[in-house]
Amino acid sequence: MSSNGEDHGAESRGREQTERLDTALDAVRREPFELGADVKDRIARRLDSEHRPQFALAHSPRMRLAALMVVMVVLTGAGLAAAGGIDTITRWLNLDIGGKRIDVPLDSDGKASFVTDTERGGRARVDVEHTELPDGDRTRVRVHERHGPLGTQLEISDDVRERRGDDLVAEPIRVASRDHSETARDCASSLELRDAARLDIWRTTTGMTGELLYLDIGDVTGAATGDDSRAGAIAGLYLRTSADSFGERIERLPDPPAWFDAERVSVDVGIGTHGSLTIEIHDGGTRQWTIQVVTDGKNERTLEIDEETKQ
Amino acid sequence: MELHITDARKARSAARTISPAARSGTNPSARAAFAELYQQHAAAIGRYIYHRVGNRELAEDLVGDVFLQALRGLHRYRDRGVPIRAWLLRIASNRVNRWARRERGRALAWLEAGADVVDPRTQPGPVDETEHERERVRKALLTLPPKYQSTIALHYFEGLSVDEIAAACGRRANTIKSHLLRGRQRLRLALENHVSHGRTS
Repeated sequence: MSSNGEDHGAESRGREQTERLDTALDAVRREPFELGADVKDRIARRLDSEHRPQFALAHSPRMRLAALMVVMVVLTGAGLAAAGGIDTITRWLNLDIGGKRIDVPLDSDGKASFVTDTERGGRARVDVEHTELPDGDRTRVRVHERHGPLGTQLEISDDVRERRGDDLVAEPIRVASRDHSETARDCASSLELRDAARLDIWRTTTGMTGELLYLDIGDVTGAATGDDSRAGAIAGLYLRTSADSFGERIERLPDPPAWFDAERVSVDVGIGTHGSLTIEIHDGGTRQWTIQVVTDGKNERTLEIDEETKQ
Repeated sequence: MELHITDARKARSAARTISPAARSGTNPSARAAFAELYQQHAAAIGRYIYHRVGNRELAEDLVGDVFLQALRGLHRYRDRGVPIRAWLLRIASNRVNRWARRERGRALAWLEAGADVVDPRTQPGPVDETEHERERVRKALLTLPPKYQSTIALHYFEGLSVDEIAAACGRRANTIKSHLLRGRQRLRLALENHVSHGRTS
């Protein structure tokens, strides 16, 4: 009797909680809202002014790949009193890389080269060459970011530079390397993967660390690239490997099957010879999806996918 | 809120219009394409964002972000059976989720304090019971993982069906069903926690 009474009480509480939740949700749903009359004009003004450069860049075919950082270059000259009383002129560049200010002295040929950290958590080499020409100065800046043999490079191209006042602004673009040219644009960067769910992590005897990551579309933010519209393109399953010998490598795996649920699946990773991997994803019961990542002697990788439903 | 399949054709048309205009930066057709997109979708996108953030100024700023983002990304829009409004809602969801991540700590503090932590941006004057209830729901929603926030808001605030949310979020319908179920459970717990710890207890 008391058990029935407790059941009844729990049921009643549950019903009350459900009703309260529905009432609360309904309160938000019923709240009217209309955009202010000036919002359209405000957006149009933003469209016309501050976003025009990026807007134009975004339609450059090469800019289909994400721009990841901005390098501002200001050429400065100054006289320095060198030892021995000989006056020499040293020129340097003030570079603003993703908000980080770096002063780089130029050599006598107007060149400089240095390595810096990037927003994506990697390292980039920046090469600068400043030339004085009869019809004006020319500054070439190249930024190379390399994650590994199959990684990506960053490179500034001349056609995406613009001049803002005295500053030369160069926006580097991501250039896919080797055979990843078609898929790199839809491949998440290391920064974009920071909110991905880690399904498994392993370490090989050779010192390589591997991670199987799932980037849910709802976990993709535009913080890394400032581009929220990329979310649909980069959500998916990723294999991230890292080792001292090649740095970091990010590979996008095929889209998982319909029953895949990152919060419920179990994952088993088997490591074969030559770094080959067998990744088994299963729902704990009837379904299993297997990916074989095979690496041949030329470091080329192929994928084999097998989906199995057990009775 | 309805999602119109025919919007995809208009989006492609707008993309073709905007692309050369963007290069010149002065072509009035860019404005025309923007005006068309805005006229058709701004009200729905604005309502969705406002229902999630609960602040007019912020909502209007985020609407601007969404449309500018969409205009920049229009060339990437492809007709994969996803209506353009669903695509805009996806961008809006991601934009709001980005904001939501920063707001989570403030929301937790608000809930822990039983709503005694007043956010002057959202509560400039006297707060009535209904407004307090709305704010409580929004704050509780902010404590959930973003994917649940989007799904719940699109379903319960905007009235989208599971299939429409699946299109907007780029997920399968079964995943959306699962997110609705789990999200609702979590939201209920968050609200009940607020009731037991807050001043409404």
